[in-house]
Amino acid sequence: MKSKTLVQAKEDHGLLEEIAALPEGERVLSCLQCGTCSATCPVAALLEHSPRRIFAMIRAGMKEQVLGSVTPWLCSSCYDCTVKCPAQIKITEVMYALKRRSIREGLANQNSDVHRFYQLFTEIVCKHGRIHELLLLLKYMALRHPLSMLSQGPVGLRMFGTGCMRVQPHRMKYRESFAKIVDKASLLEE
Amino acid sequence: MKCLYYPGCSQKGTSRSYEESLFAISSKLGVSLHELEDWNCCGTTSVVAVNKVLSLALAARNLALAEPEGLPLVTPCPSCWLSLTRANRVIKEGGPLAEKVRVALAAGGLSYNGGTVIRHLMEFMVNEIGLERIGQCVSTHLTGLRVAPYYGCQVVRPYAGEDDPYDPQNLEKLIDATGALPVSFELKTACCGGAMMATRKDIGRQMSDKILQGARTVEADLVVTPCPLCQLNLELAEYKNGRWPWEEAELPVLNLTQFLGLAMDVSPEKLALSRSIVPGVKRSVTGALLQTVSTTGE
Amino acid sequence: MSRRIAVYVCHCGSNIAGKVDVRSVSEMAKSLPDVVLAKEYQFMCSEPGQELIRNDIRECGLDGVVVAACSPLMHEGTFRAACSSVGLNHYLMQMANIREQCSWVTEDPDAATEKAKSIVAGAVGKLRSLKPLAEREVPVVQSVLVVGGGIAGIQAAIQCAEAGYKVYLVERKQSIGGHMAMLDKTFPTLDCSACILTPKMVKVGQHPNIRLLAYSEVEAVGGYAGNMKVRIRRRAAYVDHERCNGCGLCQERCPGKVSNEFEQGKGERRAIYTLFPQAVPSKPVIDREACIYFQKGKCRACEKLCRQGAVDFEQKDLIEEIQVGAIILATGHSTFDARKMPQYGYGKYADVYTALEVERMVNSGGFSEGHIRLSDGSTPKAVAIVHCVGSRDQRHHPYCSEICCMYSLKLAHLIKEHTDATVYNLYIDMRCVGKGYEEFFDRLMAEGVHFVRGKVASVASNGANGSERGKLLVRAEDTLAEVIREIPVDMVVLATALEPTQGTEEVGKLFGVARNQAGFFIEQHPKLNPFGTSNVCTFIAGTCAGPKDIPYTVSQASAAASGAITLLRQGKVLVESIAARNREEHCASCLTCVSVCPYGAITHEKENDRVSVDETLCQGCGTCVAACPAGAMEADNYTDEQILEEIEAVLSWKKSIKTKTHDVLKEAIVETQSAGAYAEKHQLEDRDSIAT
Repeated sequence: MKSKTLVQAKEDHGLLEEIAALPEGERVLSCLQCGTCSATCPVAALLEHSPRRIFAMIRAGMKEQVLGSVTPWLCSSCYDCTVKCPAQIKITEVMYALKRRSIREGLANQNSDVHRFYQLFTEIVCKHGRIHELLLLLKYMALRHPLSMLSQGPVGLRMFGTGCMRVQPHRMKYRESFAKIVDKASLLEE
Repeated sequence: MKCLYYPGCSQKGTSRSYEESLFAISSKLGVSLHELEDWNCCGTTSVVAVNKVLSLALAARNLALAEPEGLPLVTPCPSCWLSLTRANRVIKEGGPLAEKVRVALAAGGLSYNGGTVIRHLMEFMVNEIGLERIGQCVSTHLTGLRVAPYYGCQVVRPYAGEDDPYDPQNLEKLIDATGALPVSFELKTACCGGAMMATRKDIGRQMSDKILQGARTVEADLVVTPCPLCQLNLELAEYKNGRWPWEEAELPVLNLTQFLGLAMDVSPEKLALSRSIVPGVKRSVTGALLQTVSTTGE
Repeated sequence: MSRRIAVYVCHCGSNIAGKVDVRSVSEMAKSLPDVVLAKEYQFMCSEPGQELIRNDIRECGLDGVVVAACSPLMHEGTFRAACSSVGLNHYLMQMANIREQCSWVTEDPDAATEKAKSIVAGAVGKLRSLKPLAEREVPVVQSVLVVGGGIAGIQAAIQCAEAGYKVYLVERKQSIGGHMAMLDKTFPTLDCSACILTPKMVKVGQHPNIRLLAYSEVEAVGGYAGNMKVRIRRRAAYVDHERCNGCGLCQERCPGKVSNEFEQGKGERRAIYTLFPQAVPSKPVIDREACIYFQKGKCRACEKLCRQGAVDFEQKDLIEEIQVGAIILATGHSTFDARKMPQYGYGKYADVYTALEVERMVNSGGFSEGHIRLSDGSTPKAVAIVHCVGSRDQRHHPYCSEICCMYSLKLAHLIKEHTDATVYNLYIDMRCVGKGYEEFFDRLMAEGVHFVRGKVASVASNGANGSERGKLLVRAEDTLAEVIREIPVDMVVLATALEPTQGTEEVGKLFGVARNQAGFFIEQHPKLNPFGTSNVCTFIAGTCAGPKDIPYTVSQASAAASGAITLLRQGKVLVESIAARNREEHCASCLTCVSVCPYGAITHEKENDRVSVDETLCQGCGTCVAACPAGAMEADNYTDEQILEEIEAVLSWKKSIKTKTHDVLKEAIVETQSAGAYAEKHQLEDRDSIAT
């Protein structure tokens, strides 16, 4: 945050209301700010904003900062905070909701490419029905780190050696039906 | 016992060893697994971060395909199990989200009425196949072998089923059935950071190193996990720790089915031990087994 | 029978008028059958409001009044008194609750107004068939039952006894004292708990007006308001307390040893034992489960040692029946089982303790004789106190346990004083509300106790890590410094929540006292009668009604005692005149009513096969009315016809209005018809078709 003063006019409670209206967001308004989530989170020490702080920022109407934060993208979906939160907030699910919103509103942090990985994953699954690890990794690395492919050489070779890296993508049997479901679902907002 | 099998993408690629070893022991356990025809990716933690309706529809398509078969849908992957279970819950509860999923399925000519029962392999083994049956299949008792039970996250959280979410016991029970010793392992439900292995290796590695370190601290001979992603991720972490191909693996990380197969005298080839990323797993596992057998005098 | 009813619609400031269109309700009421006038007024409960009613009764000869206002719990008494002061039987005053059951709970103003109209119509409908009843008074038995011998029960018992009334104090354990007897010091003054409690305990033991029934439990409660019959089971102590002189020799030599519940399971006690040294009564009991003679048939060491010959293995439970006019429930609380939050490691790590365990540890009479020691016998150098264990947690108790912040401060002070350890308090919010409490918090901060604002996520044991080996790692986010803290300590103290004690549900059923969602007893009114219950002769005091500290407990106990004293001093209690009657022509003498009546008010005369209700015993509860298969039993003012009439009025008041205007219209048209106006007749038929 550049400025420590939050200008009242820039507050935007739309995000809080949107999240609170989701099935997974019903208890967001009851956050005690106790920090159980942060202290439970296995990646908390590496986060710019702890999960507790993300909830405080949502309340403070800091929509751009929340949706531009890398914090939700670093959630490892371990659900430890979800089962411990004394306010019973479905924190992991709320983090997913924040991820979706940050993509939709074009606010995802451009210095991080984590969201691109998820988008690529989704694209591949939508196209081939199943994930294709090699394709995903190649596309992802080509996107941001063309050079990093070299550093992955040894482990990549090893995985080819064990026969665990499939080369051909999967081809679905009922391809058309699957594509229709995907197209329809992609159009429907939650 | 007949059931439907939902492999999940990993079992066809990076975790082929899990599927191969599962099929190697399933006949011994008297289970016939029928792969769900034309199944698709469950969506896992990735698609839900992009589009929720899409992620639910992907999972629901599998449930819809499985429903007419009238058999329990068993999956070895905790992440698939969670995605399918979550979609099933959303649809059964009804509401606007469930309706959207219904509309999406209908576009592809499918419908789902909430009739599919989803089971995770580990829980299915304990509660359905039964420890007694598994014990009967054990021909080499792994007495003296110290095994760290590593559950990972999604098989115990947020839905723990019948097991205790804080101190689950299913894995311990299965290890115990082989005669091996399930060591007390504090980090058994901690996160390995697998979700970040491609995106933020710096963070993911710290987490998986911590798990491996924990297992070494309790002097485990090997780590057993029911999660293909955890298995892969821990192996990747160990591989990077700079072992040479001709050395023995210091701490083998095995899929649950590979481990059970060892006690059932299934050959290392059938258990796909050579598919481990860390070289030497096969050697060190067979070595550890030989040692076990010699010290117990069997 | 035609009546003259007046309807008064109260605005209650904006409480009702802010949502309900009171004018339209009163306009509608005017058109209800038998209603002669309807008025709206800002505050009906005010003196001018009451005067309005009195005046109308005098001037207009009313024989029925409906007040559409708040809950009858609030002002039924007010309006009943207003009516009877000018000669209108108060049973002919009916309240229509359009506040709690309407304006406060309905969002849409139009819907609220419609609902208010239905409620008012229902009240009028019922009132039309109500009959005047005579008021009944019954004498109040001049004795009080106090259930529970903690500080609340002790305070209430002493106060009633000092006022000159006979008090029965029933305590489940063999000594009074409750939780307060386990505490070392009390916050914020740091008085020695025993030093201020034991004089009161002794007083209970010595007071000529108090009959202390320890080691006893209430089994049944019968009778009626002001005349309760209570059956008490006095458990066999296997020691004749008349003979026993409390020398304690038996306890020293008894070979049966079990863990000591008073010491929170940390120390040992014998099978024959007193609860603690200052116990009142100070006579021992034999714990059958622990007694070697009872379990194996051999020993009787205590019997041989007792010079008084007081040990009596043949003793049986005694049943005693008493009669009382008032009951004070002071059954106390339990503490949350910390095992339900496995992330804190209670039961897993030896040096994770509950607050009550540390309380006994600090106490010089406790299991470690006042030394704060770790499980290995060493003195802790760093201690973490974990707040809100089981409190403010939707998975356990959503409520705040109110006293934990303060007792944690007290323990922090005592630990620091005893060991000079570094003490951390990990809290969500510090709630130090009370006289001298904030000052105590300030003092603790000045003493160098550390405060970390963050709920503890986990307590783990530190693995091999050089000098830190063997420490407990307390992990929490310091939400103010915005860092995750992992604090290595030697000892963890869990500030466990207060919860309703085991058996609270049964006690509630036994005495007819309702419980809230958390399971604590509910007061008659949370603000204006926080010590009474819906039963005028039953009062509540202390933590059985919710978490509270000692000063608040003692205040509530005194208030409950004064409630009981007032009742006994009045000497009589007004009871509902509503009684059941048996309509013999319908009665088949199946005697179902006799078996269900909780007050024993129904008798069957064998000679002439008649079933009759004793009106002085009948409390009008209606159980027999509901149970009677022939519908022969009927309660005054609650007959089937009366209730159906009320329902009818609620459901179809619109129809009755329409018919009324319709009737007027018809009459008018009949007149014009007689004048030969044929066209109007058609008009009327059109109206009919519209109306239907």
